[in-house]
Amino acid sequence: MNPRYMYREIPLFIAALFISSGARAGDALPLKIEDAWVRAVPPSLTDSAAFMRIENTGDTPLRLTGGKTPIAGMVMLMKTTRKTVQGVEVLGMSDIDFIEIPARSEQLLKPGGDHLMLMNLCAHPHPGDMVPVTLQFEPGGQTVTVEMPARIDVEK
Amino acid sequence: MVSPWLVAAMSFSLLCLVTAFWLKRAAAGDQFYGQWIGKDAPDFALTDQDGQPTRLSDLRGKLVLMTFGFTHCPNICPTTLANLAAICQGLPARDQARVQVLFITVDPQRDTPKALKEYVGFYSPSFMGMTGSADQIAKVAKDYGAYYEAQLQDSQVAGDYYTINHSAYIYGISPQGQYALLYNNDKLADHARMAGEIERLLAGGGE
Repeated sequence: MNPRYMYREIPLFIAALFISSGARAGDALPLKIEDAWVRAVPPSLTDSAAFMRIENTGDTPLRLTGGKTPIAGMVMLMKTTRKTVQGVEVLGMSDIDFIEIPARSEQLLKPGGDHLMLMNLCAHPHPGDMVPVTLQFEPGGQTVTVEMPARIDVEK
Repeated sequence: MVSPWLVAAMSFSLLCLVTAFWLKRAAAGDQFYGQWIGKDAPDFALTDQDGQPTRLSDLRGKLVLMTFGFTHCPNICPTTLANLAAICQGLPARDQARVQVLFITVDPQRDTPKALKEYVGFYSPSFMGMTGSADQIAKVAKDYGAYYEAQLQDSQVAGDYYTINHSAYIYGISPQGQYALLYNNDKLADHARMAGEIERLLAGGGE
């Protein structure tokens, strides 16, 4: 293994030691987070993304407002934009302030849709790695940390 | 004086010919998962991931699945390439060698041959990447109706970071050099159907 990359994996390893797998929902958050995964990306990339299904089992709407992870300098909420220019479908991204999960409903964060962009990677997740991602929700600013496996394939 | 009957007969014959031609075209197109194009693939010369000058026509004999993107793309391109890798892996070994995935950058400023090699190689060692001057890339994109534009991201991000909005179609170039089919990016999700269509093109279907 390239020594330059080795030290980059240390924070990931340490984080994995302290955080158990699966969702650790805050006491008051009526949430279920399933099928969460992080995209394993080529070493040249500075950004990756996280995807998941978030179910709000409560009676009031919740908003995902941000997140953090030891493998990236910054986490941003993004939506995929689609527009037609000269008859051609053009895809892009645009940052958003929050993703709302209506009461008794769910939101799917998926490739080609809304997602969490993990920016300025300090460690590159390899397929099979477990990556802890902490999600922040409003109201209340409560956080949930989810261990997300890294993979290349879009389909499981 | 030309007989009105002759004019009528000739008009009718012409109508029949046009209809027959149209029906044949429609039939050919309807049977495909992608959108049938069926014209000579515009050729181009760019630089491949090893720094070698390469033409599209150098790849004759292989079915080329071509797409435009950029290596800093965190959203669309990784999905496209992961899907293409999975589709190719699902083909019989004999046919895998006859399919060439080609990723053309719309970000020649950042995408050197080395960056392309690292990027496409992550998905499959057989994938090719191509770059060129900004003008060369613009010409190829125009020939294939691809669109791209740079977009500066949010001010929170330091420096000159930018992403590129781009079209994300997949162009199917037959082994005979025909620009046969155009796929909307979403169609890649159905790996089995894509594989079936690749098999058919390799068997000479659509010619």
